[in-house]
Amino acid sequence: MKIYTNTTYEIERNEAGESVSITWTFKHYDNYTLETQSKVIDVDGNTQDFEVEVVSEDDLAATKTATYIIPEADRTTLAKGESHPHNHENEIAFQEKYMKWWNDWEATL
Amino acid sequence: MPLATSGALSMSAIHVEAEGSPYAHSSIVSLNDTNVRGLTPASGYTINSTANTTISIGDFYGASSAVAMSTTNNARLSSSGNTTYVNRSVTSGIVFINLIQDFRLRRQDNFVYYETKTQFPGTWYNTSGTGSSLGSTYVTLGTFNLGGITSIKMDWSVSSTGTGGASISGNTSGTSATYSASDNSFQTVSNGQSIGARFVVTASAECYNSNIKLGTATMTLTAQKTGYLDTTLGAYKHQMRAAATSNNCF
Repeated sequence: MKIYTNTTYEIERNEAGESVSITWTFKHYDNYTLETQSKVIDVDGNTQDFEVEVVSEDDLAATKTATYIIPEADRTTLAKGESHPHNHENEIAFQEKYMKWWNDWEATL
Repeated sequence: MPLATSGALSMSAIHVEAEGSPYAHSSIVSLNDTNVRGLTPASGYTINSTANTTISIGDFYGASSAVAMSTTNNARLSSSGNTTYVNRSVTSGIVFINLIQDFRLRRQDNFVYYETKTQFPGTWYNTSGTGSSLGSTYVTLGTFNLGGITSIKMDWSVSSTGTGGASISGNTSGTSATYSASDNSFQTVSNGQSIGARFVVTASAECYNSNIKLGTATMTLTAQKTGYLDTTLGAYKHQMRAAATSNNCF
């Protein structure tokens, strides 16, 4: 029995650009295969092989969503950077917020 | 041999089952006889063991003189919470987490042991909910207290939240089991033999992503022996959480 989930999210923001809610979309697959892929692991460009789960849309079993209303104290105007070069401090600060949202949502399950 | 589950059911048939002998005819059977009231009802039926309480012939459909095996639980069952829990968080530029938990059901007369171990440290909870260390050495979560058990099975299901993989499958190499367990399928075993399965939860992250995978495996163990009812040790809930956080992007 093998299951795999891909997760994406969308953040809803208010007029000030602050995150007020996050909606995760979970795509559940009832199978996956393992594929060896080479990944860059440092700034020098060194690579290492990892076993990565690969899914087929034929195995998509369900798509579900979950929305978490972000408390005022945990809102942010930060967003995850999508292109190089990344602003490290921005990324880490956003990541801390994101993890807080996730952990608080997970605790409600 | 259990009584018929439908159709006509005679007092004689009930008497034979209660006496445990095809030659049971020496006494007149009554629905108040202790051994008649002591028959084990089929699933969905009730046989009130108190004499002179209301009872009907239909209550004996599928009833059997066989009894359940004696069992001992050392660990908390799924109905009360996690039986075991492993939590691993890793932060690095690129992260791949592979959490592994092994299960083994092992006959060693006069017991069958339900055992588990994990690759990374975790916790197992006793019946009072007190946690103890779980690691690379097998811990016994429960036992069937009977020699000569002929067949055993693991019945599993897996659920999860978050990004990543969760799987469970039969395994011999990692579990040191004799046979690879097949979901919800009895395996005949002799003394010293065992069946095994492996539960894997994965999470990965790169380029400042964070992914958490919470995988839950529910495992129900059942044993068979002639003269006894198929007996379930219990349903155990095993949870592993992998938190992968990337703090760089190459």
